[in-house]
Amino acid sequence: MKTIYMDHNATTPMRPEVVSAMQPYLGEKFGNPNSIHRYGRETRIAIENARDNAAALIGAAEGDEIFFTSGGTESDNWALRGVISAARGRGHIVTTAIEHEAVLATCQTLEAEGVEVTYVKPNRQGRVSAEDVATAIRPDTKIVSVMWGNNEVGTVQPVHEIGAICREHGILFHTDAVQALGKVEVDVERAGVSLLSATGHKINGPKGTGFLYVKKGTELDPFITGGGQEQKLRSGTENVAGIVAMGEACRLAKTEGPQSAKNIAAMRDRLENEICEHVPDVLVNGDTAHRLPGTSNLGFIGAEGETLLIRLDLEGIAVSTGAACSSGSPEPSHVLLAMDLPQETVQGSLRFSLGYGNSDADIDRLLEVLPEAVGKVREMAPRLKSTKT
Amino acid sequence: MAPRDDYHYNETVLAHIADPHNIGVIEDADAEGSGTNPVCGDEVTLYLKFEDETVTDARIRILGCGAITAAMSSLTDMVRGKTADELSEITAEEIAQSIGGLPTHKRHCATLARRVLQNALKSRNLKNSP
Ligand SMILES: Cc1ncc(COP(=O)(O)O)c(C=O)c1O
Repeated sequence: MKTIYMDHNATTPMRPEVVSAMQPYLGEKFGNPNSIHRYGRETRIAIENARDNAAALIGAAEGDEIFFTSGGTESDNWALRGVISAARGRGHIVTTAIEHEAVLATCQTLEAEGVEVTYVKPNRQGRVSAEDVATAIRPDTKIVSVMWGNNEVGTVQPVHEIGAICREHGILFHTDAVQALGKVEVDVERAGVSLLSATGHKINGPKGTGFLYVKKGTELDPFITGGGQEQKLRSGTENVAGIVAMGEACRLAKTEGPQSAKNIAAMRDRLENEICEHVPDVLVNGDTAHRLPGTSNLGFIGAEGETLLIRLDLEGIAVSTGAACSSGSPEPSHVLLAMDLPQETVQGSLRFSLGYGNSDADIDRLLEVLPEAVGKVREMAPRLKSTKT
Repeated sequence: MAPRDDYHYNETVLAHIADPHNIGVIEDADAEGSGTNPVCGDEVTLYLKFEDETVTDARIRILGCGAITAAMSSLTDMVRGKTADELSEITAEEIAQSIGGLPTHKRHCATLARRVLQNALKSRNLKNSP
């Protein structure tokens, strides 16, 4: 069966260029970049080159503002804990109710340790307002953490306005740009960002790779201590092959990102318009005016997301749901709930996320399968719901 | 095998979701029970037909996740030929086992399936009492 992958917000396939770039570092080029001899020099050059590519992708002034980590989760943990630790474990954090768990769970742990956290609520389109963020700032606020683009509904947050507000107040601004990178223009200088989290596997790089951008002069304690790699801020022998691959992914994202974002947005718009045309009672979740190019989160009223997902999966089409239980937790998506969507929209929501490798033919195939799948799932529903429109 | 996968559905569960058994309504049902899970919004109705004290037909309507769909689908097969007394003894664990088990975070679906069955049995008792 030909399979179609429409779950690029979960992870992305590695591009062939990325695989070739990392290959030598899985084999003959195995040196420890901290060794003085030629083996070490060779891999050091390679990871510094990757650092420059990462810096260029986000508009960082200096390559040495990039610190390699194991991914988005570690970067988020480090940014928040590192800032709070540098502030002697005290203070207040402003974040949002729609952050990734990597931020939310970290904030909850910090709360248990005595830090105070304000979770700003988004509007019904999943966007927070910069004014609400400004209002939440207190004299003891140490850091504001607002994601650049949301992973579930794709809503792009007003990071530039928030960055300006933080700059005015002299407060650090952290943004989780895991989903935005390579899809919308990310420029840390223009956005006034002090810390930025990124991951390799959402930009066609490998899993288990990522980085934290730390603006020069930011007070940040290390999170992982040891041999003092990465300017003594992130210890552990570097994941050379992974870093080289992520560097290549960053380079490709920089050169091809803007054009591919346009193509992907056009495909996404077609997918969304045609689904809404061919399937009754579908609602678009998110903010169509401020949205990542590949993401479409749709609520199929009177259907249930997970059964739809599995029906599509059995037809070879991979999508995702943020609705109940499917993520290993019995609670529905905290993002959709924070948007105050009615339960039937949350229950019937599916996320389509397009990216590298998708084509119009994939959308044709989806449109062959989806209307019937939705019809079948709706037919099964108890009478009360199925008669509802 | 590697450590047990407690996250994904097994093949039996997937087969039930792809093609749930006995979807429908019994208009002259002898027993009818419903149940919901307020957290995720799952809604289920079970209809039972009895002849000579044993179940001859069972139908379901479902708006719910994969696990509750598979659990109810399997339950409609399990109940056939059983008496009300036998039905009342069916446990959530037995329902889960009939589909090869459910991931831990989905076990509550087997509990909901059992509750729906119990509700159906109660409705039959009400109908039968003068
Ligand atoms: C917005 C966001 N932040 C953080 C992460 C975590 O990144 P990682 O999987 O690299 O730990 C993800 C994806 O899983 C994400 O979508």
